[in-house]
Amino acid sequence: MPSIKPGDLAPDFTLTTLEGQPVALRDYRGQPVLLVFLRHLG
Amino acid sequence: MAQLRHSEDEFRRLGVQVLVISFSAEYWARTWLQETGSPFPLLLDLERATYQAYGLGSSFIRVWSPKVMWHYLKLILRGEHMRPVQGDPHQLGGTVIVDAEGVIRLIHRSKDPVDRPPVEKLLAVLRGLTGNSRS
Repeated sequence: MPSIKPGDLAPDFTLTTLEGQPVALRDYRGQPVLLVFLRHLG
Repeated sequence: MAQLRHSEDEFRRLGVQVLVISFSAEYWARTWLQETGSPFPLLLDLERATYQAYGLGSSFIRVWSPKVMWHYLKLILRGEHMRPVQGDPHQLGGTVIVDAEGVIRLIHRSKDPVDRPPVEKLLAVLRGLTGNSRS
């Protein structure tokens, strides 16, 4: 299990929206990003 | 998530992009979006690769703890609609703040399914990053 911590570079990723649009974390370089990892959609 | 939605305007004011990541199947994701009207982009990660990259754990004991059971019982008693968990029921979530340079400024790995940082705490960190004082 990686132990990334504050101060580390955020691991980049590319995921897709429900519309199939790819979204990469690096697309938002230049503005703060809040990532919310859900456990389930409830 | 409801608390985050209520702070949508403040996130926008601060220039913060909120990205919601889920490992649920597309059908459930669409249902969730229709029911909640969430304004934030919903990204699918069925393989949970990002969960692993950010070190978000999976725990049987934490998911089924008495504290969590009590939380869900209260929701049920309030008449809230509950759905079965899609995918790995033991996968935990988390919340991460990444600054404009791509550096992690806050990482909160949920210790159980109901463990989330208060929105005010998130906003305080984000205000610090953007040089905004509370209005």
